[in-house]
Amino acid sequence: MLDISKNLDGKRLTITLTGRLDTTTAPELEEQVNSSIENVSTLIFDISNMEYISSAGLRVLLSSQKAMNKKGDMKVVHPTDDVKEIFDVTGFSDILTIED
Amino acid sequence: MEYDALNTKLDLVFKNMEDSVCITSKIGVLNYVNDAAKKLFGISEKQLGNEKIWKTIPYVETNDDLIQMFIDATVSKEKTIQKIVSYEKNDGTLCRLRVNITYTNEEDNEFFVIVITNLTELFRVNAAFARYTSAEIADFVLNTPEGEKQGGSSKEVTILMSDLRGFTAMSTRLAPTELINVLNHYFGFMNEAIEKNHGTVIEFLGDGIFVVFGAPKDDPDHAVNAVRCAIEMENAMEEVNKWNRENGYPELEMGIGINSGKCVVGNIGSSEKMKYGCMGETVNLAGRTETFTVGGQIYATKNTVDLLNVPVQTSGHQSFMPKGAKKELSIYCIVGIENLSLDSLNNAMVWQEREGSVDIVFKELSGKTVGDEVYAGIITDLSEDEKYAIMKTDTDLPVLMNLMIDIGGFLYAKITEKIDDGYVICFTAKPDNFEEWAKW
Repeated sequence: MLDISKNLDGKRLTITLTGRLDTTTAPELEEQVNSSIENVSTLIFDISNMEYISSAGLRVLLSSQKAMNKKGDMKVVHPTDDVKEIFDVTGFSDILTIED
Repeated sequence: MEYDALNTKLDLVFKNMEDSVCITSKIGVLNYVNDAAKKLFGISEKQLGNEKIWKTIPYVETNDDLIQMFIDATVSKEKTIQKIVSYEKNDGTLCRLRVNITYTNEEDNEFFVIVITNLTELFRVNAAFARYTSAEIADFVLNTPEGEKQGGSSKEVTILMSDLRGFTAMSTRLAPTELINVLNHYFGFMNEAIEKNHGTVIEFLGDGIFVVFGAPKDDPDHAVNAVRCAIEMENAMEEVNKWNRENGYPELEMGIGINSGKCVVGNIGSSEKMKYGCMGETVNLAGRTETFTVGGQIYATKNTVDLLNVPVQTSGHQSFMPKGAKKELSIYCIVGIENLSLDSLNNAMVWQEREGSVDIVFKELSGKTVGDEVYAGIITDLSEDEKYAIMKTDTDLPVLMNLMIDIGGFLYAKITEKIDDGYVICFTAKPDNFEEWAKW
């Protein structure tokens, strides 16, 4: 289960994820990101309450990063220790801008 | 000295292994790769200690399972994870790999040991094998103890035999490549119905298909599945013919015969060359049953119908004496099973409005032999699509009898039904002057 809540402040969009971002929930997130970022120049993923991310979830973050690279910037904030470990192990620490 | 000698030996072992071996840090920095791994991942010596394995594993959907293994190895804290996964290289090449990842976390040493067996070639050969036989036969041969042994066993199965009408005539008019196109397109649709209903294609016999249900894998519903399959195959002919029409090819019709009983199934041939086959009287009777059909018809024997434990709809039955048998075998014209029925049922026979009739003379056609007796009759009605006619004659004739009617050229037909004042006949082959004759 994944709860996705969005907060748009001008051109800054914060997407807060609560729960698990995995194969079943990743497509929904991808669709929501694609439909929300047209006029956004800063995208923030608040993942303080995201318990787990799978490889499918990582790809959604990657595609979001690629999209935002063309029009602004993106960062991922407040990952839990477990999720940070997953970013390290899969090399995503080098790709994403991560803030504690 | 002993330590150096052991190290050299170990180096040789890893160098000559066919399996790929990599050791990486927890964050993926390559610490060691053997020669096989260098080849598989395209890694060079100078990348060791500097670069991460992630430079060679693109983050694409194909690699999800492989990347997930690294996550699982750390998150689940299982020491070793093993899986067969797909791997797409940076250049798009696809591989199938058996990957074994061991995550070690001891005394502040955290690293991954990755051992990989490249199964790409094996999967490629298996897939080709399944394509040239069928997925079920490939599975039987590769994955069961009796799979590669000569010889077979007796099994209760259901046999389905189909035959295309109009194909022989088409083959004289089309170029060989066009003919193969038409046939392959048709086979594609038929194979879909066969696989969906758990049938195994034993052979494509020219324009006919020989299918077994209940072997090599047991299937308690082999009779029901065969009948369902036959109806779905007939219903698919609409799509087949739509494509034929769009591409300028003639339309085709198909007759199907079904019989159930014991067959010998197994590997027939020599130890050097064999095939998975199916033989016996049950097979012969299925073929014989099929010869009684006209295009669009499915006949199933009593042997099959008795095994159907679900509602079945039939539009008539006949019987014939199999060779060497002591009693006749009933065959039933199948039009539906459970909630599935022939689409053609919706097309009611529409007769042209005609007055008058035309006299005909005809002989019986038995196999390829024309009988000597000459019969006289009259044709009083023709269907809108000119496939069927109503014939009246003083002689009592059996349903399923084949006729050769002399109309100046030879018009071939089969008696499909006895009605109050005559017979319904279905034309099975028409001479060039048919259109002219039909204007009576």
